[in-house]
Amino acid sequence: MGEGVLLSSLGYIGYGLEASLLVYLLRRGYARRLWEVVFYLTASLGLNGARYYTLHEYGLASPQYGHCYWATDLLLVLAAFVVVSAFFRRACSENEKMWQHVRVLLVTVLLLVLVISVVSLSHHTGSLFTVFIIQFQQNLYFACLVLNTLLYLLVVKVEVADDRLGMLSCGLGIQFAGPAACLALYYLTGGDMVARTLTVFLLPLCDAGMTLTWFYSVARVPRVATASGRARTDEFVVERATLQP
Amino acid sequence: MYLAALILVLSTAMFFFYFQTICQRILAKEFDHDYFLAIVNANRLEFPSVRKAVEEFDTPVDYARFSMMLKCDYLALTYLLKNAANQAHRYTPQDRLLILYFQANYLWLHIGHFLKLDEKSPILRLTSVLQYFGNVVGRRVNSSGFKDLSASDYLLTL
Repeated sequence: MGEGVLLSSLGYIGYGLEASLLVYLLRRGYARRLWEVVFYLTASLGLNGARYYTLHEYGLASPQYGHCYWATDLLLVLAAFVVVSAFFRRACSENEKMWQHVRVLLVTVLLLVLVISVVSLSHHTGSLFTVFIIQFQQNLYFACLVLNTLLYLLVVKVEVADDRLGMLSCGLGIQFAGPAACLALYYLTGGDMVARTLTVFLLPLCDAGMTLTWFYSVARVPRVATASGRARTDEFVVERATLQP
Repeated sequence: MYLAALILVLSTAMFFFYFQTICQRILAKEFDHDYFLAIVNANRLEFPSVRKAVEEFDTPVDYARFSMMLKCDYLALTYLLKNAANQAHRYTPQDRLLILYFQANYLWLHIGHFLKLDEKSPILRLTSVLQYFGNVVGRRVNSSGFKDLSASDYLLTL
């Protein structure tokens, strides 16, 4: 009973944080500049709303809730993939040649994930809600974690001027690493009590951790002008200086 | 089975990597002034001397003394963080995150000492957290309308 209340509270705190960040972004006029964050938060709130509706209508032990839970989880990972791809685009905004390579990599990873997912899901249609779905989600989260880590390394390597991007990527890293580790532990231990408890508590905590990191990144980290922006500003200054009598 | 074990190890490592990176990015925030100096002087905090000893003198770390000094400074600064010029008397989420980071590093310092690993890096990380706390407290005191009082005068009123 106590555990259930604590879990529900954690869940509601997480959704409250997501909703607050979404409102903050919209009210501050960041909707266009940080559309990736707005997109992910909207998707997360919408999909979690669907989950709550199914839970309320059919109950925790129903197959409908099982289908809904794992389907929304899959959609959330795909939404996160879109966000990571958009961050890659932003990180490569100064280097079109690099973006060409990154784009090929992203499309390849997406196709691989889709093909492997469709094949493995079609082979396990009869036994979907067994340990298979845990392994499947663990692999998806891990694939996103690897991509996100590549993104973070790229951000550090090319010294992207937008300081927010690093923090946004770190937030996503927490969101992917926690669930991937928990699901792997769950799989390895066969879902024993400790792994189960750790998983159900750590997942909402990672979610809240990502939202708080994004909140900090949006509210506290100043967005520095991009390198090309600085170059344009410098050109403008030189131009003005030469025009001065 | 092996793949799951590999994913568990790598994901756990990445989780801690991202946690540390987030904390270091928060700590890298630059303040427009060294606010922590007034707080250090007013409270006779010792972390700047610990950092100086570790950075400048190539001598073995005096583990027992340094860890006690850092712990005392931590207790003083977290009290001030909660109560000095803080209307809500609550930590902010980033304060809580850095408190967790400090405690994790403090634990790592103990483990490192026990296993005879490098002790300088965790000590430097601990001092950087304390400096950040000092800067936050100092800036709050500075901007809270007590400008006619010195930091020590203000802190005596708590």
